[in-house]
Amino acid sequence: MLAYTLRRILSALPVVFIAVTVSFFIMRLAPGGPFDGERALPPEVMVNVRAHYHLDQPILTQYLIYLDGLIHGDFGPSMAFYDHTVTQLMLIGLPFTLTLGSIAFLLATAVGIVAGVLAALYQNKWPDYVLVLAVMLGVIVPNFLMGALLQLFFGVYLKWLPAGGWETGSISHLIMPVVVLAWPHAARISRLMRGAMIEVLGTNYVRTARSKGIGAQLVLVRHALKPALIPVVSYLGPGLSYLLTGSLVVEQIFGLPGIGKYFITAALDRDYGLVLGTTILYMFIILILNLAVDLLYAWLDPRVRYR
Amino acid sequence: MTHYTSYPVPKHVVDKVGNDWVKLNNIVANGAYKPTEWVPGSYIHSVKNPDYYDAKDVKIDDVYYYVLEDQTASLNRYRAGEFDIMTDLPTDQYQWIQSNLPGQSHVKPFLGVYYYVMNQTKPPLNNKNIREALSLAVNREVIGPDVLGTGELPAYGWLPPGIANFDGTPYHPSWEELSYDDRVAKAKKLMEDAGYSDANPLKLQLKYNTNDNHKRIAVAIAAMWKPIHVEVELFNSETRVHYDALEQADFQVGRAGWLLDYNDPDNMLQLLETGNGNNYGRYSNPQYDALVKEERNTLDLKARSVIMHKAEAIAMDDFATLPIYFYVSKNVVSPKVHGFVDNAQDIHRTRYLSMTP
Repeated sequence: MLAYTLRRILSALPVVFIAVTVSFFIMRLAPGGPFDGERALPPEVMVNVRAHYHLDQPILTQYLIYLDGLIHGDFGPSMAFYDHTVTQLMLIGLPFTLTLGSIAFLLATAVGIVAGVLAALYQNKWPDYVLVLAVMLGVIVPNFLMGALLQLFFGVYLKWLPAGGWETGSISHLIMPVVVLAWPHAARISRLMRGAMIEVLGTNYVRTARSKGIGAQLVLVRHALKPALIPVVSYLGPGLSYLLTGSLVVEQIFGLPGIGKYFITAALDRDYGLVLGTTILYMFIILILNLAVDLLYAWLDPRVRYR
Repeated sequence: MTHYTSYPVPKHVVDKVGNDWVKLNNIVANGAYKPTEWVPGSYIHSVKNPDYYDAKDVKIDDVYYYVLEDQTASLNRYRAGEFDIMTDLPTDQYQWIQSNLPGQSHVKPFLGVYYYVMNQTKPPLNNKNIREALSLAVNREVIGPDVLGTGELPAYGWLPPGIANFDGTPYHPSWEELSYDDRVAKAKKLMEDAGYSDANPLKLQLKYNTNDNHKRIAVAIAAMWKPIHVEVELFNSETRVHYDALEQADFQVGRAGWLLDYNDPDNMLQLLETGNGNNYGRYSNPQYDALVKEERNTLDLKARSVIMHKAEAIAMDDFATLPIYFYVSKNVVSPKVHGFVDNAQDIHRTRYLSMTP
């Protein structure tokens, strides 16, 4: 297992390298640069500015300068937030996005699994319909609409929760963003869980266990749950990617200081350093979590063994 | 000199820490407030500065400035009581705000011009008659009240009303007294004299940066130009791409806007000077340039105002650009805030405000 993990990490490095290179050159290809705006800077100033950010060098030199910085852990300066380096900006936004994302992810997975199991156990009876409808609302209603509606009802009309913003350590500010972020994910998980559980409950080995007289609850936990979780766990990797992209919208609506905002602003402002920094960050998060999910997979299914 | 580029910086701090002098633990503030927390792209928290010379008159102790793009979300949070002032409002909800939050919206004239630039480096827009026809056919009276809904004033001249150091009557082109139908007829004749007709329309590309309001105006103006034998292709792109194209003279007609940096006509006049980086249309008239140079060297304000009037008249009679409307400032202010005075530069210093709890 350890060898497998090391091999996965090593094989991820070329992926990261290719992604960084492609992002780097694609950004430069897009028309418009970081200093094209409503006011043209006087030419003398532009020359200085471009020299400061190495934009006057040939593109390959810029690329090598960037790689050199990366190896030393320096993501370079930000061109839009020009008093900060990219590293500083990411350190501000990252803990927040990770907190929001992981809470939403865990909550959604837990709720999705429980909802799916219950729906499967009461298949085609009213708890099934109610649960499925409740979670499906997360898929039917797009997250920006859900966010705006919740903000309106709970923030403006009922005033039960703050309508947005963030205060360190505050839970009430997290409740709505987490719910909006988690809901579609919980919906998909519960659908997978329900389908897998129904299938597993109909298998021979489960029926054998029941016929031996083992109680329904024990059968569920010991024999049915693990195999039924397999499709769910396979989905968790890509599911997390959906969640992270959803966080961009949620952070925008509720005005949260996460990375999503920097990502969008940087792309629109052609802030090359910040776009690359956030891209690399998201890439790492996704790669690491995919690896974690695959290892979890091996634990769940004894038939799967990595060499 | 009142522009922020000429503010003094604390030499002793800059010498010690270089560019880091702007960081919160280093920055020296001699104003009414000093920043204590700064999350870039998110908010700034400032507290009252006890060393300020007039600290006894500063009523508000803590200020949070938030940065937000989603205007609807901001309006929700304003309604929930989390914000006291919004410095912009979603124009498609302006009617709602007026009916449901009476007295809280402030829409007032603001020093800025919204205009279309015409690329004069190549045909057909290097032909003054065509530029004149395009300008005449635009019905400016409907743009503010009907197309946008917030009542922006039509712009027939280049200098917005309320601008300082500029007295006398504002510029009015001779054709302003004609009815709109007469103007369209005149424009049509100019186009036909240039050789255009329904069978041979002038094909123009109109570039604007992606935005709902810019789109609405562009569509309206394209419709206004149709009767004078102009066929418009609408082209929108992201702001940076749009301005990049304007800078490269890669456009025919382009949307632009200018908000005055400081309250003086020179800030607008320099936009049409030969060689100015923001003169996207590349308008060039030596008489105009000479007058602008002259006003910069004239100390007597009355004489200077006369020179600037002349310069504006030359540029507008040449149809150097196509001004459309003068901007309005849009604010939503909670009734708990006092001391909020509307002004042409939309400057509202917290130190003059106070709150009832």
